[in-house]
Amino acid sequence: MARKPIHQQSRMRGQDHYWRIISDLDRDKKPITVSSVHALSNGSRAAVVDYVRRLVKGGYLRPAYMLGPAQVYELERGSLQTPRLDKDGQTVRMGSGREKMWLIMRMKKPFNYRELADAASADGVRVAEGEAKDYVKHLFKAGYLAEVEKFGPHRLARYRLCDDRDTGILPPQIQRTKQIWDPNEGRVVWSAGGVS
Amino acid sequence: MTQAQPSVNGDVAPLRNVTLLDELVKRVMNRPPHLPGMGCFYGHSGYGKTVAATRAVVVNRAVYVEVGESWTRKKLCTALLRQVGVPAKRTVADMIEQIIDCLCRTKLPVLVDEADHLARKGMIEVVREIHDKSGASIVLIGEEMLPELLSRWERVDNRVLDWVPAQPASLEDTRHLARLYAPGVEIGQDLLAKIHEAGGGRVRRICVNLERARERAAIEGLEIMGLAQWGDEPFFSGRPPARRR
Repeated sequence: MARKPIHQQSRMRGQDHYWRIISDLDRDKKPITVSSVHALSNGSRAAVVDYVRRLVKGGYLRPAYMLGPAQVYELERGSLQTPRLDKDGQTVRMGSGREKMWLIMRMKKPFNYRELADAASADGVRVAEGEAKDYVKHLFKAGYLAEVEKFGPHRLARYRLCDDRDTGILPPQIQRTKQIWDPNEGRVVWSAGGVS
Repeated sequence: MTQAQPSVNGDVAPLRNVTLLDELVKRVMNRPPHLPGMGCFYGHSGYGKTVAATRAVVVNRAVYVEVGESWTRKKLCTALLRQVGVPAKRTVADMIEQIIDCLCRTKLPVLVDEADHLARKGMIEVVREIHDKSGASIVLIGEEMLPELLSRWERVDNRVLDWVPAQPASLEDTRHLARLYAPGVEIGQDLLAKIHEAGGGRVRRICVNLERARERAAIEGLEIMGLAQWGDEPFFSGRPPARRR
């Protein structure tokens, strides 16, 4: 079955959910085991096992001690965002261009799309200017960005993220259905046909 | 600008200050545990400190705040919490605890821009407390006078692992900026050198002049913009024009 668009899915699911549970268990000083994570999640046990294995390989979790038959893990490295890791524990690069662009916008400096692409291209990630342009265009339409310098015959428009649209750490997503989903607010903030 | 532009990013040498700040952040982050974890990056206005900060934030996934002149301790705390996506509690003391908790867990470095305001308003002790209790790496960025301001707070001064002055833009930096701000136009070496000289090391002024060169080239339909094409139009130097007679 095809995956549903994100706005039709339940709020917390998959790796985001497991990661949240792990962080919460760590904060509450409770043992982190596959079972304790699985019990609080709505995913399959196999999915939890798989994600925990990736976190261990990526250096986020460390096997600490045995509690009866169960392996207890300790959080080695925290992260604000859910670590996205491949099966060898390497960070997955997909989507990280958007993440970097959003991070830059949240610094509240005026920028044009070219500067944004240049600044976000770092750390093995390359953001194409077209990609930056498209992201800026959509966020502007959705009211996230204010134009601080107008587009002219020989110059690019410059934008700045509005204070009240600095919604959180996760980058707003442009969905294929031509709408923008803000994962911080958990709602569709703009759609080509108007927000319902 | 409608035509496709060659991409400039990624594989060219970054600006000198970008490298300096990134190295400072990394040095502070990778310090041995018994050493203090604050860094200080300072320099004249217009040297491109904020551009450097942008890159350091992206590469190191740092938490960034730019302190405002009007800020209070509470505002500083809410701004920090907002950056890490934690809903703020009500009192400053609680918020500081939240910040410490978050930095402990995530090990994220923090960049504080315009840190001069912190020193002037005594908010610097808040940063010191966060640093001491979380062990987080904190880099203060500010104007030329920042080290002097910080020296008044001995407890802060002692915790700075490294002081790095921002450098004036080099000719190589000017070349890099030309690729970013004047794409599609070839700026002649002679003009580039003049723009570099007129900028006095200020990235901001260099950008203004490059922008002008690009605009002139676009208007006059030139592909190459050298000193000959530029003529004797004065460069932007940041100073008001001389008195007219």
